[in-house]
Amino acid sequence: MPMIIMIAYHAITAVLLALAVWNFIRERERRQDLVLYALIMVPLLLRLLRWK
Amino acid sequence: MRRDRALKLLLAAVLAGLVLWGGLPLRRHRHFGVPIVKGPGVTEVRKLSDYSPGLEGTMADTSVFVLQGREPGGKALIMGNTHSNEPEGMLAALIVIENAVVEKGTLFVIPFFNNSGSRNTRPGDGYPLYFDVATDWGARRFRFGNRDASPLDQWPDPDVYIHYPERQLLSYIDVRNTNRTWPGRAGGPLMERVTFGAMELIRREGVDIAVDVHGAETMFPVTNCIVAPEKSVKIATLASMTVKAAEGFESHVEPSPAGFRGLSHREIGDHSEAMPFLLEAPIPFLDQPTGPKTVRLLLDGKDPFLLSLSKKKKLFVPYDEDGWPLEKRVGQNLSVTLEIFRQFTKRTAARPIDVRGVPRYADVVASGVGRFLADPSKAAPGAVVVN
Repeated sequence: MPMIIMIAYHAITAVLLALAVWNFIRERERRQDLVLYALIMVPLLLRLLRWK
Repeated sequence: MRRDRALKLLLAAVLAGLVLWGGLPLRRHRHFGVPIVKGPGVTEVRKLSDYSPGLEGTMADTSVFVLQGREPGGKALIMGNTHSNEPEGMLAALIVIENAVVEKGTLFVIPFFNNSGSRNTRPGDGYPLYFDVATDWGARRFRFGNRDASPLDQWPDPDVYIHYPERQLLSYIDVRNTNRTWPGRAGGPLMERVTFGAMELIRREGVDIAVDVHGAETMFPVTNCIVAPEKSVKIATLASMTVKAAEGFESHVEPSPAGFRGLSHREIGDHSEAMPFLLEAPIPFLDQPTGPKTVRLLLDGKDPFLLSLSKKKKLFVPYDEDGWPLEKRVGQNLSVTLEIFRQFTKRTAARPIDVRGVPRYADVVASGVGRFLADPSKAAPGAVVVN
């Protein structure tokens, strides 16, 4: 069971990261939002890479 | 449009820089191997997964060093790094592996009991990732870990950890604490598989004595002591009195509470024939009201805030300008362990445990921990095990 949850968690992390990347690429007006998207990606990337 | 693209590229570069700057040291720490030299007494190296197959291929699997004596006798298990931020246990176990010769009986030594925990850290407390111990031939580097296993290896945490098999409710974080998951089970969470492996080792090999070597805060009442359940308390008391009289340091006896489940000093005794002992040496680094958590504080145990608290009688151990250095902590753990073996042998002559070559308290305090650590670069081929 924990393994299934772990896999689901990584899948959710990947989806959130994809959304953040998508928004980052699409954003054209609000520069503050660009910075926020970039910051949000840091922990998601670290977890997906299994570094932290 | 072009300016937007330039800004995005810049931000992406900053993001990549942050991930690499923050993440790569953690990755390196997680995969850093500590070389251990097989000393003159080591006859075999096994894995804990030999006793708990569910550990195989995981970061929680760890090396078990076997030191088979020249003559048969009793059997003892020594565990270090149950909590990987208490390195005096791991170093005491390492000194045994690299120096001991067993005349009678058999020793099983697990220097990195919570192997996953030793690859974890506590960035919120500013923990160092490594520490170096000075030796005659240079510095020897070790991973400095955390109390609990890495969430990369065991996740998610439950809201409440329900202890197996007693069903006592424990803190959620204790599901990753190998001193709360005893006696464990073969198919449980990863840390239960670790403790199950040790229980299986104890039961299958007929281990008489299990010594779990720790460090504890100076402001915590259960420090500078031997924790023992009813079945071990006589030997613990004799060991405590002997080291005080013969070697001049205190290590009092604390009873293992029967109602607090999951701890090695309780569950090993309740689920096997072995007598468990848990050793606690005072480690100022773990106290909350200290200065920065530096390697220096870890090694010399000197802190002005603790000194001030000591003058106000707020600590549970004597504390002065000399701090509580690593040498004292490791030496204390080694002397108490050897004394437990001696007292057991005196009471159980049919199962003697006679270990030579391991330094005692005075030797380690006088010469330093590094004096008893081998140089992996000069070891014979095949004599180094990387853990």
